[in-house]
Amino acid sequence: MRVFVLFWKINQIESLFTKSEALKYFARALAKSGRFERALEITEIIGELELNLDKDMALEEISQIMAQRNLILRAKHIIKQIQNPSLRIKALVELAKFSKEEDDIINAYNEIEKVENLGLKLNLLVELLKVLSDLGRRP
Amino acid sequence: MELFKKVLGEVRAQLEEVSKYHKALNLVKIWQATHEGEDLEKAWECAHQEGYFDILVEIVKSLALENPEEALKKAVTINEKSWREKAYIEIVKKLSRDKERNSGIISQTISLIENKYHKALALLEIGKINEVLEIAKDVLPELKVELLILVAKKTRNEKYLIFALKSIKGVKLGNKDCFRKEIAKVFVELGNYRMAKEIADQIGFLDFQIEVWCEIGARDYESFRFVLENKSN
Repeated sequence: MRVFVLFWKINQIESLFTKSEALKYFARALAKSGRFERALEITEIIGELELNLDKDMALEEISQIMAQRNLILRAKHIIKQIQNPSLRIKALVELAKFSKEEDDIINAYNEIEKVENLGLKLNLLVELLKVLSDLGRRP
Repeated sequence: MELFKKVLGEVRAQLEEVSKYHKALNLVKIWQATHEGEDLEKAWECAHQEGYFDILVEIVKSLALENPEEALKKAVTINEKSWREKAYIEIVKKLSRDKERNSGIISQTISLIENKYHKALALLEIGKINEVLEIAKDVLPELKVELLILVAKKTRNEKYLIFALKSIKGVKLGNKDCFRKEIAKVFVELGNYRMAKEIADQIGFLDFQIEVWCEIGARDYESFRFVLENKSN
């Protein structure tokens, strides 16, 4: 009944923003506990609130946790569902860090090259540089 | 290797296009990737000149493992006491991975910390629990509760959470709910959901209460499907 109490409490929140924050927090906590399917069900609920960016943020976090646990294929599948380009690329860089696959690194790089916002592009390139360094791909 | 050079070239070329803060931050990341002394000095100089203390601490933290002496030398020059002591704590945290080998520099670093609470945080990193508890008796109530929570996390011993709870009750605190939330979350970490639930019920601020319930629900959700189905009906 504990989850029932939780949903009842989340429904008490009037602000849509706070409600979404609570659901994102829950999705993250579920993913960290390894309950990925449950975490994805929560992202669907966030989607029902028509908060697509928040849904993407939750998906990005879940994909990161999956990648960190070496669940690379599942993480890739989740990343495909992320609509927001910056969040998707951020997730691709994180994926490359753990998959260590040449194709994933190149894919992340090609996606970064499409970014128009200079500040964001620089941040992503720097992250990729760190990934390449960690994988021993520096001179 | 080719891609590394290509990305590095692009990053360097774009550095002047961003704010000074982001330039300093990216210089740190460049150094973390290249491990070249020249990049380190550029990053340090930039952050030092502009007084970006968080970046200076980040540099000290990254440097601590590969060159502890240099990290300490740099930390000493941070001219804001609180940030300087944060840098000292980061050095101790990194070096605590090999306490025996680094005992000399760890003691030297801790001896430089003047603030009691900061000293307790550094001592906690090297597992000096009794010393931390001794300091906890002698600091502000809020800091005492914080320290007890940290000791409980480190030792995974619930008795310190009970002490922390008692310290909340005994003292008038401005932010009791926040401490209750933190204590309840550690109870969840330790697997004591019953106690976590009890504390959650005492929390007045709904957002904090939900945070605890999320942590409990994430680990203990046998009726999850039932709830989802009922929610959509």
